[in-house]
Amino acid sequence: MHYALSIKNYSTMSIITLSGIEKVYRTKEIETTALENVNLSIEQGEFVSIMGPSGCGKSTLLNIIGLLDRPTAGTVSLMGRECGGMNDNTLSHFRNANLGFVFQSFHLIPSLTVADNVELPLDYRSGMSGAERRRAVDEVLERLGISHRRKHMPGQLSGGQCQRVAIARAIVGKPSIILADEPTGNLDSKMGAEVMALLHELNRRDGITIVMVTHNEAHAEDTDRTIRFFDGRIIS
Amino acid sequence: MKQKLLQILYDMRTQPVSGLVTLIGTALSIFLIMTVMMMQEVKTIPFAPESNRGRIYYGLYFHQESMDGNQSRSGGMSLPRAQQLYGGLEGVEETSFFYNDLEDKNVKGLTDVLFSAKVRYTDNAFWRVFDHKLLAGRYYTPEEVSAHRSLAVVSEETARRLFGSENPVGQHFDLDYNDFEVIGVVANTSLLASMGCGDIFAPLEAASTEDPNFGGTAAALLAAPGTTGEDLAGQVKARYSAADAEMAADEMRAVYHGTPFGQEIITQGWMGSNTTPDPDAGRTDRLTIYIILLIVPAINLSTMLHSRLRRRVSELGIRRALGCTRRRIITDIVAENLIVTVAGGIIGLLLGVLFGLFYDGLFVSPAGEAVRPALSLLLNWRILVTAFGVCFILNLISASVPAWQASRLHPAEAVNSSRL
Repeated sequence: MHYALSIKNYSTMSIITLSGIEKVYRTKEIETTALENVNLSIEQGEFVSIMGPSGCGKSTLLNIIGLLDRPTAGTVSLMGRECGGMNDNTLSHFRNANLGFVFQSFHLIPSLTVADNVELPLDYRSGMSGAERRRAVDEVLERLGISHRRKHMPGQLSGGQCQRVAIARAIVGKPSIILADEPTGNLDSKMGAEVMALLHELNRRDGITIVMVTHNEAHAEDTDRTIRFFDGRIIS
Repeated sequence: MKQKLLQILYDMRTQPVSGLVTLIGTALSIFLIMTVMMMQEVKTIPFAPESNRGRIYYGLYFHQESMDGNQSRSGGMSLPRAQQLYGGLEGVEETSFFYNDLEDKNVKGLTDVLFSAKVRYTDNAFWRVFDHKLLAGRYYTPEEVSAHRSLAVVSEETARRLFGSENPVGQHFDLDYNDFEVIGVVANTSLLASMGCGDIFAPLEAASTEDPNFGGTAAALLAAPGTTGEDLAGQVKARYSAADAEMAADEMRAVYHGTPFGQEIITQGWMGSNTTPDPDAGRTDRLTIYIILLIVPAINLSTMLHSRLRRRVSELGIRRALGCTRRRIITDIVAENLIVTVAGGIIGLLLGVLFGLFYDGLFVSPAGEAVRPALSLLLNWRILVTAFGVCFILNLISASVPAWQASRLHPAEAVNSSRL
């Protein structure tokens, strides 16, 4: 399945800018460089895939873009804001307002129902009433075709349904950016194709910028741009 | 709240042993703490006939020593000495003089059964300082006390045992082989009301041979609202100075120890006849015991919580990724733990109440006799508030460190943790 670029317009404004990013993990015995002089600019509305062998730093890069990790050197700017100086509290609020995460293992919270999982980002957002939150959850569950599963627990869902719930959770707060770490990695090809179709729809219809780490060449080809990584560096 | 309850239920389902141990551990901790607190509480909580415990002050002993310090005498007061030291103080609504010790005396009534009853000798003001419930008849008057009339007010239970009737007013019985007339019947009292209780009450009689200083008399002062113990102590100290002057001819002096004392000092055993109690030291000792009782289980519960949270590292990372702040992580964990602690606390409190009600020997009167307190003494709003407060503190101590550690998890590392 291919998604033509021609039907989509994305802004030439850079929504994600990484400059001279380095990430070094240090222990007493060893120093490991995960990212080395990474410079990257992603435009608003772009769907970018990141490919590379295991351990090359893809997920580290995604964590840094997602403000879950701080670079050892370099700057991260999201939506025109330099994020390096933000304290932990500000980072949390920024993530909540602007970023959505989709993980390979879905990472749904097993103790909560589908609806409660989806509502979680809104629960961490101030200024929304319970009724507003529930309305937003209903809308997104309806849109993703899983409203009939709203009271189910994650353990009662298939992998594809779990990932749909995870995507619902990622978009319920209307983020500008979705960061997807191998979103089809745990799904069969049919389910994987469904999830990809969903991500493309969100990108095209809602204009959400998507950065996706993947090992699947076909899925990468369907994105606007593929960034290839090797040993912590962008090679193409 | 719903999410927290779901999380707790999920934890209980997925980690039943850990969850059960936490719940039982909390219950036993609260049981232990509340049992100790109940044992303390009954010593100070107001209940009939000592409903005014907050404003009753006592003078129990007198202490004198020779000018050179080589001789010393101390013990209960003679009636005249008690009256001189504690009678007619300002800011006092009523002053009662009565025999401090309950005397076990043989009694026999119409039932012709000889048994031992606890007899307290009092004046008429005793009935206004202590709020006994008069079921029949009347109390003895000041004139009858002065005339040393052989009259008695008996408890309901004693009336039944003496006469097989609950209203034997006007009937006579033998008290230590002397004839006494019953003029009133009062509700039964618990021995935990150590100063106001008794089976039989009879007019106080000052023995003609009594030592001018020493005897068995105590004074109970019902302070007017607004009058403090310090206000009364200032006046009593001045009375001691006067007594001092009287005894100077005998080369003796009165030693003042800070009387009159409130309920706490009287019942906690912090006083002696010739020592000055140190309430601060007593309170510190008591607080130390409470802290140890809290800290030890709190450390264990903290370890259990830490272990449970280790299984939730990935979930906590996800929450952080979705925008949960560190503070919210802490408050959520503390709140979840509080729910578990309160659930354990309710079980522990019920265990404590049942233990107090049915285990002999937990509550002991000042005379050393086992007492079973009424349910209202063990389960009342003060106990409930205290139990909740203990749960809250236990929760804070046990949850704060694990919650803080959880909030410091590195979000990226936590998300990728294998445990969810």
